[in-house]
Amino acid sequence: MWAIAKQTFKAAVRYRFVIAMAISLLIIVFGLPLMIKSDGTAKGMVQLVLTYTLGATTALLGISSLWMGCGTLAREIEDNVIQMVAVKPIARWQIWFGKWMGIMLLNAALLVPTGLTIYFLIESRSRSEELSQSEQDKLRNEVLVSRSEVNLPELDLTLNRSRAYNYCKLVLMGKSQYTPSEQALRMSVTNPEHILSLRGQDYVSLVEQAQKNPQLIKDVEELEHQAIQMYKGTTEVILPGQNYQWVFQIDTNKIDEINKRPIYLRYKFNAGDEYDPKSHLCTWTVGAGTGKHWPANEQPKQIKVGSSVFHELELNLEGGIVPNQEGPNHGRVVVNFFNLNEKPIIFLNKDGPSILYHDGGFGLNLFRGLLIIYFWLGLIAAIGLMASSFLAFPVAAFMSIGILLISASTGTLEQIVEEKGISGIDHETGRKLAPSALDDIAIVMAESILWVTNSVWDYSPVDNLSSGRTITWTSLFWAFIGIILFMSGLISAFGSLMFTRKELALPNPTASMN
Amino acid sequence: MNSTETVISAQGLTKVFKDFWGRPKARAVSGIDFEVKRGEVFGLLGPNGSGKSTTVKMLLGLLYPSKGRISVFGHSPRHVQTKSRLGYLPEESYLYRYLNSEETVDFFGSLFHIESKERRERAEQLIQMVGLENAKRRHVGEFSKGMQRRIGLAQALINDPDLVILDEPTSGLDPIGCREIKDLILTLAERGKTVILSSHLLSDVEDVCDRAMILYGGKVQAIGTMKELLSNRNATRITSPALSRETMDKVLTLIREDTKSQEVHVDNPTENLESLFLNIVEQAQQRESETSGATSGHRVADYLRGDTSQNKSDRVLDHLTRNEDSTLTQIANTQSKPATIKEDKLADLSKTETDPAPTLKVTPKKGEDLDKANDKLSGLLGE
Repeated sequence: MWAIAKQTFKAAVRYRFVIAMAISLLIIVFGLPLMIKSDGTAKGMVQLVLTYTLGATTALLGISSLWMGCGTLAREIEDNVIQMVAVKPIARWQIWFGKWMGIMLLNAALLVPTGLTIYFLIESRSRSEELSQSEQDKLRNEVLVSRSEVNLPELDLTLNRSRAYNYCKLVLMGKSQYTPSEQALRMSVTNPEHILSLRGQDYVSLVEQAQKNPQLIKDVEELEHQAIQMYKGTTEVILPGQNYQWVFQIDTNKIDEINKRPIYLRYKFNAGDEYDPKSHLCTWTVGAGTGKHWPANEQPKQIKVGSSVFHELELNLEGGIVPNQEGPNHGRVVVNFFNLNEKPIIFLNKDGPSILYHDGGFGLNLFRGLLIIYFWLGLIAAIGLMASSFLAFPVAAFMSIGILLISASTGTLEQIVEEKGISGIDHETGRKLAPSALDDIAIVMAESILWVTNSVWDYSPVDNLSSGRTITWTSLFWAFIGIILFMSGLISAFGSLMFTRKELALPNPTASMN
Repeated sequence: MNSTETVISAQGLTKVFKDFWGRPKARAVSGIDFEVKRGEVFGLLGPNGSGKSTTVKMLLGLLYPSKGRISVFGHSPRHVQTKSRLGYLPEESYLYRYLNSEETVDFFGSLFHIESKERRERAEQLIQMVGLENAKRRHVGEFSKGMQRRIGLAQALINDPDLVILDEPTSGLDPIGCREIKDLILTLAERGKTVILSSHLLSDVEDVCDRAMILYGGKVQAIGTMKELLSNRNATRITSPALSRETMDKVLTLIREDTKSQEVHVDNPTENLESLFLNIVEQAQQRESETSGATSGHRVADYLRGDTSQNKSDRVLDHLTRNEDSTLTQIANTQSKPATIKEDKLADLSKTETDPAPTLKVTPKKGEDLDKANDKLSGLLGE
């Protein structure tokens, strides 16, 4: 297998593919920063340079991996050169993996120097005398750093129909005293089930009717969906004049270390009008009731910032902002937001807010990020090789590009899932115009593809790196499991199976297999 | 090892090529049966499109039979370990164009898990053997067809294979190269190696094969030893030093009386074109030794010769490269060779058609012009 890998690498070198790629990468690394226009701050510039250079490097190496994956096998099959290898004592799957390893060797040879160049280029810029000390500090603390993220606990959006039905009936009874089982039921209901009880009579009758007429089950589901959405809304929407509080629990073992440096509140909001680009007033306080009040002058911090983008708020307090005394507030960071605008402010659950604290340097974080990119390249190479295992080169390239395009265009798929199918929807009532079996098929397909693509692209390291957030070893491990072992493994198994079944000496490469 | 060991066995071997929709497109091989024993040089003969290459590729596991069974050393041709005993030279040079000769042989050697040092030694010997030591740093893509064939042959022998499959091995080679390939085949056979030679050049097969199978339309038309296939037991040929007219008349009279037939022909034996060409080139080599292409007259690699360094084929090779021989002397020697007919040979020759009949009735003569030889198959197959 190693011999095949070396030979594949040698082919790329001899055909000057490596040189062409190296020159292209040099242009990206050195040329892109010259063309980028940032917001004028050093932080903004470095973030953009990181985003563009890493993005462009990933794209270029991705295309080259795909090209190599499709070309190295398909062309050797078409030129019959593979016959000379296949008659040697090496299993077909070993040839396949040897090719894959060769492409990965090539990717490593290109990605490692590119990563090192990016690292040293940014490090040298961050120490440039042109930057003031405060700008350098900002870079060190907010971008060229590895910061762990503390997120809010996930919302419990479960809705058990039987429990919700029983609870609704109990509420409708209007009891003031409860049996132990009724009390247990009251304690076990989730927030969506509780909200559903506000429409108790409608829900109870609908569930009972649906038992006789299964077609009504859609209406039951609709009510339940509304309850869930309503609960989500209460956690996301802050009306004008209202206050909302989030509580973050910090690992108590790390508090001493965390308190040595400032921590950051990372947030993103939308105004009432989602597309409103104007700035809005954000009024914050931290540490209410914990004895660690921020700002120190006890006046709320007020800033005007734009919606729909992430912001960071430095929470710097002498002695640290995280309470480190045994008790109910141990490690609790309480954040309050006051909406003093005339519009509702929306904090989507998926966007946080979150707390960031320093836990390492930029170099190691970049290394982990590059490893995830390397895993992606491995997957792309596997897709190319898989396609070329049974298709001619142009068709294999076309198919591979198609797969990548579909996986990248998740917007349409998300819309199919959101709108519950491909048939039209009445936006006033939110109901399907003419639901059909095709909708169900489309939903299953879209959900499957989304599951697969999300399990790959969710590990995107570029955003984390440019915002100085830690790519944890755990997420690296799961990225390896998900992208390399699972996804690439499945594709490789299929590809090498097809290659094993393929008759390599057919007069016409497009003729059928035996 | 047992010399009757069956190396290749095919029963009812059939290959039907299908189109994209699975509809039969061409029946390349149709129910052929044959066996090849260890140490045999077995010829696959047939015109273009007769199914030779398809058969070879099924032997190699590059095509899968549509019907029938095939085994190589008792295993499926796709059995990975079995392939370590195989050497294959395809009909075209399917090589990596960007590798040089050394790298090519080394790469294919590495697929056999041969130790690096051993691999390098073998590669060096093989490159020398095929006459490419002056071009070992040149990329294969720059080679002429003949040179590519030579490096293809070198890679086929890197593992000292027990079974060598040569598909049109002399295609694209100059006559010296052809001769060397034939000598190499004989050397391999003497070491107990089995050789499958697929060719449509009858002279190649005739010179080296023990047995041959003639294919046409994907079916076996004839199979047997070369003697069975080629002997004409209804005619006798006597070769002697040049005779006087009187002696000739006496002999003819005697033969006519004995055979009661007037169909007696007398002529002078002629050198075949291949031998004549080889001698001329040999002389030219003695005068002008510089060439940027492939050279000839090299020893078979040591590890391929094994302990048969003094065997017949080597002697032939040595003979071909001896400087003191001259074409003219050889011709003269050939013509003045003393008669070598032995009593038992005469007895054998005197047998009539009551002996077991050969599969096909043919009357070739050793040393005929190549053109005549190549016409034979066409005649036999009614082309």
